[in-house]
Amino acid sequence: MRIDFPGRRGPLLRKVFSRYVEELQVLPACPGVVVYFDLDRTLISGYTITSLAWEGFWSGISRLDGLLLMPGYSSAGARDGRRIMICYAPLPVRSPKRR
Amino acid sequence: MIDLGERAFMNRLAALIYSEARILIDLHKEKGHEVVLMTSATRYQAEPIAQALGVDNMCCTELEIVAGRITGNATPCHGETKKAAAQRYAGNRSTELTDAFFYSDSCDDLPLLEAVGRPVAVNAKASLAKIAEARGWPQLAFVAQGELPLIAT
Repeated sequence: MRIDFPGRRGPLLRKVFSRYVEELQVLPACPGVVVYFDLDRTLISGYTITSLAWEGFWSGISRLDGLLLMPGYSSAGARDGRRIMICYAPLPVRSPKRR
Repeated sequence: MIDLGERAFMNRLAALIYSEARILIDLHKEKGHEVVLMTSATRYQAEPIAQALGVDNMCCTELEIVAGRITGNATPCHGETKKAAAQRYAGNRSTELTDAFFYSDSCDDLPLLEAVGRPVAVNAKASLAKIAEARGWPQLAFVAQGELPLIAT
């Protein structure tokens, strides 16, 4: 399988990705190596934000469904690092600028 | 909450999974590597995505539940605490972070990116792209969402 990268930079992005895949493919099998993946903007294009937020948000727990499904919702700021809210913001991904 | 997370996945998130990510995960698993999802998202959000990608292991923000109710307290998995979670995970399997890969988009994850032996910047924000370039870390841009962009060669 290969990936059809769209847009003007498609061929370059495809080439970089293909080269990286080729490097991985030639690595010897090595059980036990751990591979960590971040989620937001790494595995998915968008955010499943777990934001540190105002304590009062939990009083609105009944509205969480709406928050999760509301496109473009952005998070409130952090206060103490212990109270959180979860929300979801399917924002578009910007590719790194061409250098 | 589990139902809520699954609905969010079905309604929104499933279509946003990068095809490149699927390819890399499958390739790492072929190599015998252990793939772990490391996220500040909650289990309710992340678990359906992990399942869809065939990822069995996950470190995430865990919500405190007392007597069946979410209290609002949580154990976050973000920044330094994400690095600590990765260290615990590797330690439990007698492996070293210096042998590990980590794919991330953000400087928020710099503690873990700096700790692993194979950091990879994916869809890097400008601040991380600058660091990745200076340190010679691989940089990838994922663009293909869902199944459609994959075509047979």
